[in-house]
Amino acid sequence: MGGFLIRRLGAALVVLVVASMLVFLGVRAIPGDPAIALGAESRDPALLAQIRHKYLLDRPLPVQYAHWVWLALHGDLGVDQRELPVAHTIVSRLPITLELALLSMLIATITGIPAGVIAAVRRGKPSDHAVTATALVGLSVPHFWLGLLAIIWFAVDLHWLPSGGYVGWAHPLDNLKHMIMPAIVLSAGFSAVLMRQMRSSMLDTLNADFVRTARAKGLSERRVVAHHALRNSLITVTTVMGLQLGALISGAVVTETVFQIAGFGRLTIEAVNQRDYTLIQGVVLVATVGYVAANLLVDVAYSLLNPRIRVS
Amino acid sequence: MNAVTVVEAPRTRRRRLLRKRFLRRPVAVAGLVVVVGFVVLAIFAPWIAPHSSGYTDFNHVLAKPGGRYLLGTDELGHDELSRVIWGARSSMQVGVFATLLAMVIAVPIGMVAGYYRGWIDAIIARATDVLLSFPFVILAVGLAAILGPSLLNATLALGIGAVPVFIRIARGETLALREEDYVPAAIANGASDATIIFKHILPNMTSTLIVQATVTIPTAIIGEAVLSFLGLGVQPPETSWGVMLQTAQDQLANAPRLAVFPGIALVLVVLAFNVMGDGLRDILDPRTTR
Repeated sequence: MGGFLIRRLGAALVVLVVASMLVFLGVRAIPGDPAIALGAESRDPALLAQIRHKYLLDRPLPVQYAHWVWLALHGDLGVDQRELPVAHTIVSRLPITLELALLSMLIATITGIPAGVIAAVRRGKPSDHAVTATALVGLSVPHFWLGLLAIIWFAVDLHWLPSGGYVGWAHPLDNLKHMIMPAIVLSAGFSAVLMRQMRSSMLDTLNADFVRTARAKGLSERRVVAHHALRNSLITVTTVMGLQLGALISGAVVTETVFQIAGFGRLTIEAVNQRDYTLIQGVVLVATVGYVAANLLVDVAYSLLNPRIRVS
Repeated sequence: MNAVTVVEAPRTRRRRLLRKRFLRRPVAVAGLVVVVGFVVLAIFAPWIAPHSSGYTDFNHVLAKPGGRYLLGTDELGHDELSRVIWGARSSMQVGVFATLLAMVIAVPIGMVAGYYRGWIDAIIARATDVLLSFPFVILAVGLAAILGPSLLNATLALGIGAVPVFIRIARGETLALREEDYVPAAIANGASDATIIFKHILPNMTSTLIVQATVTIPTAIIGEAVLSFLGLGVQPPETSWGVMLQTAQDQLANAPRLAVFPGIALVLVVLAFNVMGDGLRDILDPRTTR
């Protein structure tokens, strides 16, 4: 187990180093003087000289990179065009996106897993067809369009929910009212993937020898499904979660745009629209770090659930 | 009695069989019909669409569907129907070119990894695992930041995003195919590695690649809509379904239909590709053939 963890951690570190190099070089590939970009488009020679000195822009690239990483590790990602510290902006936006992501994963799990199990247990029956069809639609309908439709129905026509915006946790009920629609929209694709994967992996396990043994021992069907088949199928779910992380991050960007939530995802788009390179650099770096870290977590969870992985 | 036996080439026979199997799946056939319909719309948009994509009628802004404008007009007086038809162009273009780009980059890499194995395979497999689900929006954000937002750059981002999947598939197929008898036979005949890879292994994985393409094209089509919606893809006055949905966002209260029509087109084409792909996979995968 220890060896496995160290190997995975090492691999994650390598990925992070490569990714950070790409982000670093990417911003330097943009035409123009990086000092101007870093200095919030200021042309003041004294300020530029100061920035060049601070970010070591007068030194060779490897030195610059090392210094940039050193600053980033200390929470300094530079200042954006409005001269606000990028790290601070990102930290203030992240919790909103995390709330959205966690809520939608929760919704996807409590809808996707039971639906997939039901479809597998009742294979070929109407409930199976209903689940399979729902999953196909869930995969084919893009989030953002679903979001627009939801706004039209639930906000514009029915006035049940607000059409967008965000309210902090100080008002829990209002917070939930604003978050529930975006979270459901974001969960749709994930839920559909879960349904499909759960169904097929349950179908496999329901035919496995150990399930037959469990049945032969005279266990009730409910017990066989819940304790023997389902437990094994959950490994698949962890894999799916790992593969869906990227989609979740992309989805958050889109959903936050549709529902005008000022989270991390929306910040990403704002950064590009304003061509604010320091901000873009910071946002892409943080997104990548988050992605790699979450992947690592999934891998660890996976190895805890499935002892076979640790050995290989 | 002399029976005249027509000897069919095995390849023709296989094709005929596949066609027969495909035609037995009405849902997949319907998917194919819809896909072909949209391809026709995309290619012949200038002749099919009632108006050009930039056409504006300031006297009929936000017109209701019916009458002169079948699907109504938007807030600038653009004919909605024409724009949906023109939008098919951007979608198909991105879908097809992003997928082709991914294949051109990924298939050789995947084949090299699967054929030579060893350390090169280990590195490629590891990199693929990491990139497999990297959020394409973040990739597109990076590209848009460096190159500026456009249809071409959206295509690049989506194509690069699809590379890992194709590497995996090409690698897996090559691993299996290099164990086939014809590979040692070719080696014995003095064939070079390149000949074996491109003449013997590649043709045998085309059906798998085609099935994956039917999955990648709709993903890229959604991706284009998403990126254009976010302002990272097609830029107005150029049109695409994503651009239409972006502008429709401001009209949700007074003209929700503007958000409905391009979305329906989008879902229709994606659904059609998906069911067609499911059908193709069923007939091409020997494990599922009955």
